[in-house]
Formats: sequence, structure tokens, C-alpha cells
Amino acid sequence: MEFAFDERSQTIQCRFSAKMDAISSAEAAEIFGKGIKEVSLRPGDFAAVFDMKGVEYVSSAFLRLCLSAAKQTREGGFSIINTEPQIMKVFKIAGLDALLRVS
Amino acid sequence: MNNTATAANEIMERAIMAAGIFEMLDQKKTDRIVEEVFNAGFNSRVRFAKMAYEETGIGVWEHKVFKNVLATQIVYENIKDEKTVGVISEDNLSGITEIAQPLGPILGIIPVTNPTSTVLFKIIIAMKTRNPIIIAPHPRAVRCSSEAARICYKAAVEADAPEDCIQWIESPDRELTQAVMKHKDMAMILATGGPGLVKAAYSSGTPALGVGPGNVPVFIDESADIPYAVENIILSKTFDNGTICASEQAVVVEKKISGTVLKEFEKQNCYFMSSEEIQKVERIAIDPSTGLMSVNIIGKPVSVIADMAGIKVPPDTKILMARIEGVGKEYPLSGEILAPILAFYVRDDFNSAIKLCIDLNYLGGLGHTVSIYANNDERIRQFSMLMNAGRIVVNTPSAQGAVGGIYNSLNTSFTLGCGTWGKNITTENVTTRHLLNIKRICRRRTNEKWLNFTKEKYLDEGESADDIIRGYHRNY
Repeated sequence: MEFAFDERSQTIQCRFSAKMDAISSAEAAEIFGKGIKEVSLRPGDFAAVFDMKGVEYVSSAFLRLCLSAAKQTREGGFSIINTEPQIMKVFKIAGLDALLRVS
Repeated sequence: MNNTATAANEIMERAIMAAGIFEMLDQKKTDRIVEEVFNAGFNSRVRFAKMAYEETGIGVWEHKVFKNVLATQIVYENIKDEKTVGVISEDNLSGITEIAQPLGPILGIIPVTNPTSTVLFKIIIAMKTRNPIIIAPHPRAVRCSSEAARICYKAAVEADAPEDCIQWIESPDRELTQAVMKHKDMAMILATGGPGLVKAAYSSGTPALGVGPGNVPVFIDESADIPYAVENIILSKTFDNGTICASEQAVVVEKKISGTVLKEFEKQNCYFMSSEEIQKVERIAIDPSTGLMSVNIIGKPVSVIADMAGIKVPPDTKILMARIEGVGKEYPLSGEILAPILAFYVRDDFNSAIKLCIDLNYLGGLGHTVSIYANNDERIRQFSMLMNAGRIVVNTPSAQGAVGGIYNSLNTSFTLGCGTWGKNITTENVTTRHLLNIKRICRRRTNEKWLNFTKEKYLDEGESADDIIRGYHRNY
């Protein structure tokens, strides 16, 4: 997982590996948590964009990571972009597409 | 007991008597009744179509003739040789014999958009399966639906069908329809109509096959024959002025071919509205109280819709095209509109286009029908894997394609199952087999593996699944 922070827009950008299974998602959650601490962000003060380009598989753990990340961002500040159609459908079926602003 | 309950009881008493007599008919007698009902319905196809048009003001009477032909001739040819009485299959190897038995009284709820063809269809499949049927017409189509039922009933009785095998509710009485729906002797509801009515059918406690709205996206792939695709979409969307719920609601294309597709629609007399014109059409096409399409525009021709909206379009315009960006309440024309109005979307690439189709599919059309034009099997497969639709029609006008029997070998039907996505128990085109209780005689054919396996092993906690399976499948 790649974690980047844009200070000007106070936005975290994350990119992921192709298979976000339980292990990769746990690692990603750890990196995300550490990243927030390193740049001294407080919950509700920042936005986050999960760029899903190239991600072909997501696990339940990844959905939990998305929900957890969305809770920490400012209101309406979380989005998931560049999903493959089959990944977008996972969020649709789970009823999370609107909440997590999946596109 | 109030008047409604008394009336419902009277209808149901007659229906169950007919059900009893029906059980005595053999296949030959049943088939004769079906043939006579088909003949009577078919021979009245033009009169019924004109009556439906005059009474409802919806659609095109000539197209309604073709709907009546589909509901009689094509349905009849689809089912006439089926076994639906007594033993319908016997397999000595498996020892299973299947016996078909009727369900009992069926309530056929009829939509205003197809008020005679749906009556003919439901009656023919009910007769073929020896089920008495009660027709509940739409309040705006009582005369034509009742007349279609009356003609079929006359033909059925003349062919020795039981008295009251076909009944119809002549007064548009919602309470009576609901009382009949909930009656303890009602076996099945075949509900075709708006979401409220279909929900009422499912809430009644009686088994129901209900078909609600669609919202059909049609994806034109870069591999498609574009003029052919556009011609077929127009053929479908203009059929009966777009009243079939399987007709296309939104065209989706990739940017690289969007210009060509747009020009082709224009060349074939479709009119792309400006943003202001789209807003004017939205105001008359959508009922603000429900957010759904307005009943006033259902099945109306382009000229009438344009007049209602106060826009000017060329006189030979076939479809009003609305180029819009998004899906949902903020984009009123992204939902189902049973009229010659078609949304048009352009997306950067294939993946974005497919994601848009998923969004459209989820916007009120889950389980119904989707459409694709492509000459690339991989693209067709990818599209099909992601859509939640009972029917994925390929290189076919979707309205005519989804009902089956003309462009493909789907069962011809005016009741299109939408699976659990649409709160249905089937994704199939509803036909005779859904109106039968199939009994199975199961003769003893022992499972040798089970008999030869030492059952005590199951009691031993030390035996793993691998050990058990190996022993169970051992070759003797």
C-alpha cells in the first residue's frame, strides 16, 4: 500500500496492491494508522481518497478498513475512486457505495 | 361480513368449483380448450387492440395487435405440445415419475400498458395448466380487459371447460381485488403492474409471481455494428410508444464512439434535446409527488410529449434523446419512463461505462432486463457477469427480445421474473411450468455407496472428513 499526504488540501491518498485479502488489508490498516500519526492528523480534520486502480480483489477486512477510514475523515471527506466494475459491485451489494462515495 | 368480503367469497366459491372440475380433464381435453381459447383470442386481436387504444389512449393500436399475436399465436406455439396433465415425465433409471397437478385459482392482475395481451397470455397459460383464473383489470382498462376475458371464456366453455374457469372483476374495485388476493382459497397471484400493486400482491400472504418496473440500460460496445444497433434500439423503444417494461431506458457508450452513435441516432430521426428542453421534459415526465414517471406520458407519441413540454421538435422525430451525466433523483430522466424518451450517456472507457450500467440497473430495474450490442464475446461475458438481470439480451431490440419467442428461444411471456432482486422467486420468463404443482413418485433406487459404507465410522470422532470420504467413495 502507498500512503501519501497532501498538506495543502489536508488529504491522504492511498493506493493498494491488486489483491486486498485479509493479510494485505491488515497491513494496509496498520500503514494507514501509522501514517495518520506521523503527519499528526486528528480525526475529523482531514480527507482521504482510496485510489483502487489495479485492485482486483477485496476482502471483508478491506471493507472494514474503508469504513474505519471514512469514520476518521471529516464529513463527506472520504471517497473511493477508480474502481474496477467488479469491485464497485461489491460496494453496491454491501450497500456502501453511497456512504463511501465509490466511483 | 361486508359486501366486499361477500363478493370475494362468491368469486372464490365459483373458482374452486371450477378448479375441482378442471382436475378431471385429461391432456387431450385440456389442449382442445387451449386451442379454442387461442383461436378466439387470435381472431379478436385487432378489435382488442383498437379497444385497448381507445380506452387507455396509450401506445399504438397496430403495435397492440402484434402484442396480441405474441400473447396468442407465439405463446400457443411455445406451449401447445407441452405435457401439463398427469404424468409429465418418467425416468426408470432414477425411478422418478413427475405428475403435474394444477395450483388452483389464480388471480391475474393486468397492467394498463398491455391490457388485452396480458389477459390473453395469462388465460392461455392458466387453461393449459387447468387453473381457473380471475382477471383483475387496471381501472383505466376495464372494458377492453373484461372483453378479452369474456371472449376467451366463451370459447373455453364451448370447448367443455368448467363453468367459471375464467372470471373477471368488471368494476375497478381495489378493495375487492385485495380481498380476492388475500382469500384463503387463492392459490397464486400473477401480478404485472406498478410497484405498489406488486408489493400488495406479495404482502397478501398468497404465493405470488409479481413483476415490477425495469430500468434497462443498453450498452453499445465499440465492436457493435452501430447503425444496426441504433435501428434496433429505435424499433424497440418506439414499439407501442415504449410501453413494454423491457424497453431501453438509457443508451451507454464509450467516448471514442459517442460521436458516431450520436450522429447515427440523429440520422435515424432521433432528436437530442438541449439542456433547457431536457428540463422542460423532466417537468412533465416525472410526477413530483413520487419521483417516478408521470402516468400522463406513458405510451404517448413524441409529438404529444413535445407539446406537453412546450418544446419544438422535427415532425418525424422518433425518440427524444436526453444527454445526461448522472444517475439518481437529481437526474429525473435516469429512471424508467415508458414513453419514447431515452437517456444518453457517454463515458471515458469500457469500465466506466459498465459501472454506469450497474448504477442504472440498481436504480429501480434490478432483476429485469439489460441489453448489449457487441461483436466481442469477451465484452458480452464481462457485461453479463456484472448485471443483475433475468435477461441479458444481445444484439436484439430489448422490448421484443425479453418477451421471448421472436428474437431468441426464451419462453414467450408477458410476466418476466426478476429473481430475488425484484422480490420474485424466479428470473425466468413465467410460463406454464410455474403454474403447476409437480408431484414426484420416488421409487426405491438405493444409494449403494451409503448402504455399503460402515456407518459406525460416523460415530468415531477420530475419523476425519478425508478418511470418511475416501471410504465412502471406495470402489468395490
